Amino acid sequence: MELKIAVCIKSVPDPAYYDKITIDAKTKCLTRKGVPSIIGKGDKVALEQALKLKEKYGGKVTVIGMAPPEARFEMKETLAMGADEALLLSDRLFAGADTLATAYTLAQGLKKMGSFDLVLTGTESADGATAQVPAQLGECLSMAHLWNVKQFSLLSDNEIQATVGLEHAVAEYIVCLPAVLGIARDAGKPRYITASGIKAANCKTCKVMGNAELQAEENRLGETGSPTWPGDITIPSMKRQGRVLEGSPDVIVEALTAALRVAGINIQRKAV
Amino acid sequence: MSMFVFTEEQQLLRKAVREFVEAEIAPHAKRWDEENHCPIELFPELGRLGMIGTFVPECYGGVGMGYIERVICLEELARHSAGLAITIMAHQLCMGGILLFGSEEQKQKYLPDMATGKKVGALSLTEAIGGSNFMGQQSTGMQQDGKWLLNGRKCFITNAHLADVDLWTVVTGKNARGRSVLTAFLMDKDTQGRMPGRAEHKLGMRSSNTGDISCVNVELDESHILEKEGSGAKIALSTIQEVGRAGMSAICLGILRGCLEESLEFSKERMIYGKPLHKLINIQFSLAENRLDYESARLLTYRAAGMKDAGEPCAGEFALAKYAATEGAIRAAKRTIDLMGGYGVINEYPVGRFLRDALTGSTAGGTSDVLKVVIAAESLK
Amino acid sequence: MAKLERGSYKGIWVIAEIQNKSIHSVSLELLSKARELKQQNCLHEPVTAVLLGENPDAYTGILSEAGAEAVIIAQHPALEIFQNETYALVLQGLIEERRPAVVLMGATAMGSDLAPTLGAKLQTGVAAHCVDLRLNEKEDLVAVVPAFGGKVLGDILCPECRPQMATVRPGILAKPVCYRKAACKVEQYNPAEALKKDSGRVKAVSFIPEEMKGVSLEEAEVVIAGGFGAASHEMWELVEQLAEVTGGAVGCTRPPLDAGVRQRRTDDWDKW
Ligand SMILES: Cc1cc2nc3c(=O)[nH]c(=O)nc-3n(C[C@H](O)[C@H](O)[C@H](O)COP(=O)(O)OP(=O)(O)OC[C@H]3O[C@@H](n4cnc5c(N)ncnc54)[C@H](O)[C@@H]3O)c2cc1C
Ligand SMILES: Cc1cc2nc3c(=O)[nH]c(=O)nc-3n(C[C@H](O)[C@H](O)[C@H](O)COP(=O)(O)OP(=O)(O)OC[C@H]3O[C@@H](n4cnc5c(N)ncnc54)[C@H](O)[C@@H]3O)c2cc1C
Repeated sequence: MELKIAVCIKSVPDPAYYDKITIDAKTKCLTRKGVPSIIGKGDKVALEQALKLKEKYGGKVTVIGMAPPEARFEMKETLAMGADEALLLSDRLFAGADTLATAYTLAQGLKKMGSFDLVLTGTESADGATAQVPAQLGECLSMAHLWNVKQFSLLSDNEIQATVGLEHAVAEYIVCLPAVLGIARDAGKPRYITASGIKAANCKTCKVMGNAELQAEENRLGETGSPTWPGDITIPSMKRQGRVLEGSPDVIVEALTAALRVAGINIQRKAV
Repeated sequence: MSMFVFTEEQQLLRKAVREFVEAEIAPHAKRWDEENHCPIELFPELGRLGMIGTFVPECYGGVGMGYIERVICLEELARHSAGLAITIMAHQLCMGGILLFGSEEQKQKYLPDMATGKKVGALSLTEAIGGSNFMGQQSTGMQQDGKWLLNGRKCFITNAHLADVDLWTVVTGKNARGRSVLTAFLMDKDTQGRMPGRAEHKLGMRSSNTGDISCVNVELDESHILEKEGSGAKIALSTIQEVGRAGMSAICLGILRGCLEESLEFSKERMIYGKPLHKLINIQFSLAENRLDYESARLLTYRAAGMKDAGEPCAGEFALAKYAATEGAIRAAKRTIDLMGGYGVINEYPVGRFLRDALTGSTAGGTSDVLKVVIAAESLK
Repeated sequence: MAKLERGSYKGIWVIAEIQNKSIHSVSLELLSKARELKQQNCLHEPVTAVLLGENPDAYTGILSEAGAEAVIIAQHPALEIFQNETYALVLQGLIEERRPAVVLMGATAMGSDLAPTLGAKLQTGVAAHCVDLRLNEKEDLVAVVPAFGGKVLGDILCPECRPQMATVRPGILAKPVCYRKAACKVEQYNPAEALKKDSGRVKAVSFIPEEMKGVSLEEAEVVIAGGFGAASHEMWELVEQLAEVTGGAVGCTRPPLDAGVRQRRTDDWDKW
C-alpha cells in the first residue's frame, strides 16, 4: 500500500536569537533583523514520522509551508531530509494570518497538490505556538484529526490507531483516513541531513505559489480572513528581587533555611 | 575568482553539519581530549552523513561534491573537535592519493569503503630524518623475485594504529642527477611485516591518533603501486599541497571560529567594574583581531578551495591559506586566553584546548617556515 | 468569515473539564475570573459553566462555589472519553443556540485541541494559551498571550466574530474565589441531536491514566526551575534532586527541553 503523506513545515525565527528580537516602541512592531529562520524541531519530528512511514509502506512525502519567499531555503532543507516535493505558499495576501486563516490557506494548498492519506503537523510551532493549526487544518479539510500524537500505526488501508498524550494520561483512538495528526515533540528524534540528501534535493521541486495560482477566497486569507486581531505588545518586566546573604557559610545556611521556611518551603533531610 | 559567495547547497550543507556537530560532537570533545580518545567508532555515521567522502565522486561511494564542501565539513567539525577533524583529514589524504593517482581497479577496491567510513586510511610520508626534508627519506623498496620488498620507519603518522589502508612512499632508486626516486605503495593493515609502533602522547589534537609505523621486509606485488614506479614524489606533493594543506587550513579555520565565538560570548557575560567586559577598549581590540584573523584565513582558504574545484593550480594559494589559518589560530587562541584572564586557563573552557590544538596543527602538512619558503618561491617565479 | 451581530451574543461561558474524577483547577480559576469580569463590567448574563461527559452532575457544587451562576450539563455515554469531534459538535450546537459572547477553556491537552476545533466549526477566533483576560471599553475580550518564549506579551482581540474564544494556562490566573451559597441554575441539555452529526471518524478506544511522579506543576507550592545553565544531564540531575528535597515540582525554560535533558511530560504543556 502506498501512502500519500503531507507534512506542514513552518519557517520560524531561530529561538537561539530571541534576544535579538526587539519591539519598536512607536509602531509596536517586532523587528526580526539579523534573526535567521529555521524549521522548528517539532516540525522535523513530524517529517521524520512521515519519512519512516514512506520507508515502510512506500509512497510520497509532500511538504507544505506558508511563509515569505525566503523560506524556500527551509523547504529545500526538508527535501534534503528526504521529502519528495515541496510547496511554499507565499503571497502578501497571506500575511498576518491567524490560525484559522493559516489553516484555511494550508488546506487550499494541499487540495491543489492532490489528495492525501495523512497530513502531519507539529503539535505547536516554535514561535506562535498556539497549537491550533492542526485541529483547524483538520476542520478545513473535513478530515478527522488528533493532536499531540505520541505514536501511531496503520490498522488497515483506511484506519490508524494512535496514542494521544493528555495530562497525566494517554488515550487511544482509532481514526479513519484521511486524517490530520499533530505529532508530539517526543514522538521520535528527527534524522540528520546527509550531504547526499542535499545533492538529491537539487533534483526535487519546490514550488512557490501565490494566490494568483492558488485561487483561494481572498476574504478568508491573511489579515482580512483572520477573526483574531493583534493589539498592543508589551515586554513584561522579569526583574526579580534579589537579596544577598552575608557571613560565614553556617550563618548563610541558617539565614537561607529560615527565609525558605518563612516562604513556606520546608527542606526535608533526605539521602539522595 | 574575485568574490566569494556560498551557494544554497553549500549553506545547507554547513547548516546540516553544524546541527550534527553541535548535538553529537560538541558535548564529547572535551572528554575525548582528556582521555586521548579518537572516536573512530563514529566513522561509519560520519561517512553516512557524507562528511568523509564529501569530494569523492558518487561512482566511488562518495557524495560527489567538491573541495569547498570538504572545507565546510572540516571547519564545522573542527569548531568543536579539531582532533576528530584531523583524523578525517588524514584519512582523506589517503583517499585523495588513490582518487588522483589510483588505477580504476584500486579506486573500486578501496574508495567505496573509505568514502563511507567503513575503512580508515593513513598517508605515511614523514620519517625521523625530518618531515621537511621529504626527498631525504630513507625507507626503501627493492625488487626481488618479481615482488617489491619494503623496509623503513615512518613517524608522526595520523591514524597509525587505526588505519586499514596505508599509503607509503619509499625510495626505489636514484635518477641521473643522483636524486632519490620515490614510489608510492598501498598496503592493507594486516600485511605481513607492517607494524604500528609507538603511539605519541601529544600536546594537542589529542582525540586523534598519531604514531610510528614500520615495515620490515614487507612483500608487495606490482598491483600495490600507485600510478607507476617513480611517481611517489609527485603523488606525495600534490596530496600534501592540495588536499593536506586545504584540510589543515579548514581545521584551523574551525579553531579560529571557536576563538571568535568564545571570546564574544565571554566578554558579553563576564562583568567587570559592573559592566560587561567588552566595554573595555582593549578587549574590543582583541575581539576585532580575532575577527580579522578568522575572516582573512576564511577568505584565503575558500578561495584556494574554489580554485581547486575549478581545476586551477593552487599550491601557492593553499600555502598562503594554511599559513594564515594556522598562525592566526595560534594567535587568536592565545589572545582569547588573555582576554579571559584566569578563566582562560581553566579547562572548563575550551580555549586552552584550542591553543594546544592550534599549536599541534601548525606542523602537520608543512611548517610555517616551509610554507613561507613556498610562498616566496611562488612570488619570485 | 461570518461577521455577526455582536449585540445578540451575551455572557461568559467556561467549558469545564473533568480530570481524574474531579474538576480541573483551571476550570475553577476561569470561573472565578469570569465572575470578576462580569462584576467589573456590570454584565447581566449569568456566568455559565458547561460540563460534558458521563454523570457530570456531581460537580455542580464545586462549579458554583468557584463562580458559576448557571451550569449546563450534557450527558451521554459517547462523551465518556474526550473526543474532539463529538465534544465540538455538542458545544457547537449549544453555542449556536444560546449565543454566549465569550467562551473560555483551560489550555490543557483537551482544551488545546477542543478550542481550535470548535473555533473552526464556528468560524471564529481563538486566543491560545493566554496568561490574562480582560474586557475593554467596548466589552470586547482582550486576551493576553505570551510570545517568543515569554519575552513579549501581546493582546489578542476578536472584535468582529462571536463568540470570542480563549484558552488559559492552568495555574496562571488567581486561585479560585469561594462563592458560598450562591444560587446556581442547573440545566440538562440533551446532546443526542448534535451527536447525530458525528461521522464516527474519531473513536476513543481507551483512556490510561499515567502514574504521577512528584508534584504537578500547577498544584506545586515550590517549583525548582532550570534554565540555560542547567541544560546538561549533570546539572539537570541537581535540579531534580533539589525538587525532591524541597517537595517541589520541576520546571524549565526552553534550553533544557531542547537539549533533551528535560523530557517534556504530558503535564508540562507550555509552562515555560
Ligand atoms: C599532529 C601531526 C600529525 C601528522 N600527521 C602526519 C601524517 O599523517 N602523515 C605524515 O606523513 N606526516 C604527518 N605529520 C608530520 C608532519 O608532516 C611533519 O611534522 C612536518 O612535515 C615537519 O616535519 P618534522 O616534524 O620532522 O620537522 P622538521 O622538518 O625536522 O623541521 C624542524 C624545523 O626546521 C624548520 N625547517 C625545516 N626545513 C626548512 C627549510 N627548508 N626552510 C626553513 N625552515 C625549515 C621547520 O620549520 C621546523 O621549525 C604529522 C605531524 C603532526 C604534528
Ligand atoms: C505571539 C503570537 C501570538 C499569537 N496568538 C494567536 C492566537 O492567540 N490566536 C490565533 O489564532 N493566532 C495567533 N497568532 C498567529 C499564529 O501564530 C499564526 O496564525 C501562525 O501562522 C500559525 O499559528 P502557530 O504558529 O501558532 O501554529 P501552531 O498551531 O502552533 O502550529 C502547529 C503546527 O502547524 C503547522 N503550521 C503552523 N503554521 C504553519 C505555516 N505557516 N506553514 C506550515 N505549517 C504550519 C506546523 O506543522 C506546526 O508545527 C499568534 C502569533 C504570534 C506571533
